[in-house]
Formats: sequence, structure tokens, C-alpha cells
Amino acid sequence: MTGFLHQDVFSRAHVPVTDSVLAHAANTREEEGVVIRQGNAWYAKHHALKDIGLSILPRSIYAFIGPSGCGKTTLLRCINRLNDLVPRFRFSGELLVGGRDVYRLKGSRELAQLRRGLGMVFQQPNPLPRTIIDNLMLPLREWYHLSVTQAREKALEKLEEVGLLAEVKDSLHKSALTLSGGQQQRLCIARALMLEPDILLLDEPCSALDPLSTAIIEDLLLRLKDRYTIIIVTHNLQQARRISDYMALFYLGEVVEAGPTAQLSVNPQTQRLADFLSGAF
Amino acid sequence: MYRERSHTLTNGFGYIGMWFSLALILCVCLFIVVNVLNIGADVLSWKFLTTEPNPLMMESDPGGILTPLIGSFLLTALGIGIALPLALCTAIYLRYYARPGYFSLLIVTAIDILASVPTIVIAIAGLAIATLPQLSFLSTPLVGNGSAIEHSYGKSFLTAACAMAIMVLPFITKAIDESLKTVPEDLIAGSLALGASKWRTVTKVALKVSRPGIVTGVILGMGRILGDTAIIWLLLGGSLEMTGNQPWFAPQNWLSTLRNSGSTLTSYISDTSPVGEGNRYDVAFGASFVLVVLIVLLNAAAAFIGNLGRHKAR
Repeated sequence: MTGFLHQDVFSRAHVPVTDSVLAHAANTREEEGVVIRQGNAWYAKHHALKDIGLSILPRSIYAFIGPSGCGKTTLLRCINRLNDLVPRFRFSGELLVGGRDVYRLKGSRELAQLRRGLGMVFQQPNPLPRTIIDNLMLPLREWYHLSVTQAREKALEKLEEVGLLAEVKDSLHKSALTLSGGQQQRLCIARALMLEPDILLLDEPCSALDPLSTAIIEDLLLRLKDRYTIIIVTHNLQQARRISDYMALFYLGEVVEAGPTAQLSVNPQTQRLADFLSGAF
Repeated sequence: MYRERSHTLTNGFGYIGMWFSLALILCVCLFIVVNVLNIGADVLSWKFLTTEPNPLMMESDPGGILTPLIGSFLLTALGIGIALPLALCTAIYLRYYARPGYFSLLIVTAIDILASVPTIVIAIAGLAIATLPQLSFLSTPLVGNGSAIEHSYGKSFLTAACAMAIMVLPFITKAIDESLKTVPEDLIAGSLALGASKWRTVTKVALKVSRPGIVTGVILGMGRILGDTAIIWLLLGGSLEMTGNQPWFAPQNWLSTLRNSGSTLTSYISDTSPVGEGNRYDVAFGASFVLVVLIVLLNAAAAFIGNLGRHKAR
């Protein structure tokens, strides 16, 4: 099974995607995705993001790559304003999600609605210490008046979508913490999809997982990109090459180079990206 | 070549020191329990637990410990009832709402200072406040020469419970804070990322995950209230029986009972010991044994619940 999956994922990397990516770009409207203009961010006095300008098109996979501490995760957490948790964090510039500036929302209600439309998956799988089914039903019942039966139906649908249903259908009422790391992460993806977001934010979702689980999740993301805009932060250049349509290299808080992955990985325009691709840092 | 260094001697000393300390602690513990049981065993009986003490403290007929026992439970419940909501709010505020700065530093420092104030100081400050005429609804008003209230008596279950709450407040706040600290950041972020509000995240995720730690803190706080004497002496009074309207257990007299003085196991022990007026040290030891058993049970419960949490979190 391992071999099959790896081969499957591997072969995709060699498909010449440039044409399809360009066609995709022509057919989609920027406003449906995420647009960042002159994004600057500070943690107290530390200037963490410098004049970021990116346009992330809907229904594609966009990878943020770069060394540790270069600002990828900071930018990701700006999109759903999770950085609000950090004391003395500040953002300036424009950050549009679906045409609305997330830093100019009014009130906590609008913020909550923004976050409802943005599913997020974290580096460490973070299921709540409850049952598998509860983990999925909780966000749904937090937002809508639903019967348990309705919520359960939706939960099973999402479990199927992430390919976890077959594995857990007999243990839906067991603690989510009994699952393996890879299964937990897929559960978290399913949970993020429960509220039917438009955009999926993934913060190094595979860095705590083994290669097999990684391959399963990469495969899942490739299936999901038809319906969701996926933004993934990764250390792993190979992963970015395997699954992403676009990528941006971050270095010391700046975007060094951004564009279609197939183009960038073959023909980097900057020395920095060439160095990164060759594994120099 | 260098001569090899032997650690046999230092290791040996280490082991001896360790075992000696352990043995000493065990011996002291055993000595106290055995001694208490040895002297107090004769008076222990079901009747001892279920009869009220003789208010005259006669050597020949001391009576049982029913009211002190109930007084202990009552005071513990009231004290925790007052302290827990305050401690929860304080801890949640400090961990999830306060911005780091002078104000939160001030609160944390105040909590630390309060934690180190001796209970006798809390008791005397409490007494000074509780005797204000404006607070006479907490205890029994004392009527002076005229018909006007001159000042409040100050001693009652309610005033003692308030002082107890102040005593355990920093203790429970710290315990809850430590427990909230162990809630993984990712769970909080995950909940917020799903669009849950901060308040829902705190109450539904953080408090749920940290509940074993909170319960442990509360139980240890109960132990402290059960074992305290200084506040009892100053704010509950030394009378052995309940001094409100009689019968004290009748529902229409509950408020009166709470507003009047009474006793707890600790004050009963002190009263019946040769230091007090009872001069029945066997009875004092019997009551001590009951108190020790209660506190051991509470600690065991705390340990059990703490373990339960650790098991679940895996």
C-alpha cells in the first residue's frame, strides 16, 4: 500500500501542470481567494512581515515555504486573525478574504463568521479530549440549531470525505485520542471541513507525521482542492513541489519569490530561491 | 592514564540520607496516627458521631461531636462556595483576558501576598470588619443601651466562611491557574479557528480540559478549611453547640444558625483538650482522629481525581 501511495503522489509531481495552472488562473477571480497588499506585521518591536504582496487564487493549493522563523506561519495566522491571541501583535496593510478586509471587521461576531469560513489545521493534531463523533459535531452544533441525527449525518459525510470513515466507523464513540497521529490529523481536517469553509489553512500539517500518513494526507489535499482553496505552510520543499499549484518563498519576513510551482521549481528567478531549491538553507 | 573515580561512597551516603529521611517522615506520621487512635479509640463510636456535645463541657459527660462535625462541613461548603466562583473568575481573567502589564502584575502580587498572610491575621482583620454595624446581617446584632444597634457581634458561620474564603482564595486561584496553564495552546487556537467565541472557548474547552486540576485544587482547599483553627476561634466563637434559634436544624432556623456562632472539629478539639475547659484529652483525640480521617480521605480523592485526569489526557 505504501508503494502505491508514494507512486501515486510522486507521479503527480511530474505532470506538467503549468498550462493547467495558467488556464485555472484565467478562469478564476481573484476576489474569491485571498489577497494581501503591503502586509506588515510586528510582534512588539520585531518586524515579522515586510511589505507582503500575494494573491491566492481560489480552488488551488498555495504553499508557503521557507526556513524557520521567516514569517510563513505568521502570515497564515493573520488570515484568520489567530495572531490576535499574541499580546502586542500588530498588522498593517490590506488582507482581503473574499473581498473583505479581515483587519477591518466590525465586532467579534464578524470575526467569528470570518473564522467559520476558514478551516484551520495545526502542526500538532489537536482533537479535543472527547469522542471522535463529538469532535466533529461540536463545531456544527456550536453554530447551528441541529439535531444530533443531522449533525451525525454530516460528520459521517466528512469522515468519508477525508477517507477516515472505514477506519473508525466502529469506534465513533471512542476517545479521539486513541487514534494514531495521522488519523488524528485527518480527523482535524474533517473537523475543519464541518463548517463548509471556503478556504483551508494548514500549518505544517504533516511535520509530526510518518511518511505513510503524510502521503495519505497529501493525497487527500489533492482531492480537496477542487472545492476548497488550500493554503499550506511547509518546511518540506518536496511536499510543496508534490502538491502545490503555486508557492511563495519567505525569507526573513519577506516574500522572495512567488508564482506557479512548476515554473518556480524549474526556473527560479532569484538566487535565494535557487539556493533554497538546491538545499543550501 | 588517570585514576578512575569511584562514586560508591557518595552514592552510598546519598542512599542512606534518603532512606533515613523517608523513615523519619514515615515514623512521625505513624506515631501521630497511632497515638491519636490509641488514646481516642475508646470514645469512638456511632453514638460519639451522632450526639451533640454537652454545652457545659462536663468532664463526666462530654457528649458527642455531631454539631462540630456538621459545623466543619457547613463551613467548608460555605467557604468553597464563596471562594470557587471568585477564584475561577480571577484565574480565567489572568490567563485569558488580562494584558500583560502592571495591572495583572499587581493582581498576581496581591494573590501571592494573600497566600502568605497567616490565618490569624486574616481572622483578626475579618473580625474588625465583621463587627461593623453595617455588616450585622452576617452575624447577630448587639443592642446597646438605647434601642439602636451599636455594633455587630461579628462571630457567625457566615463571617467565618467569608474569612475562610479569603484564606483559600489565593490557594485555589493558583491551582486553577496552574491547571489552565496545562491546556494545550493548540486546543484553544483550534476552537477559536472554528469560530467559537473566546468565552465559549474558555468555558467549553479550557475549563473542561483542566477540570481534574480544578477539582484537585478545590479539594485541597477544603482540607485547609477543615484544618484551620485561628479563624474559627476569632470568627465562629468557642461555643460547642449551635447558638441560633433552636432547634438549629429546622429549616425555618437555618438562617439564624448561619448568623450565629457554633463549633467545628478543630475548635472542639481545642475546647476538650486540657488547654480548654473540657479536660478530656481522650475525647479530643477521638475528634482528632475523625478530623485526620476526613483530611486523608479528601487528599486521597484529590490524588485519585488528579490521576484520572492524567489518564484521560493521554
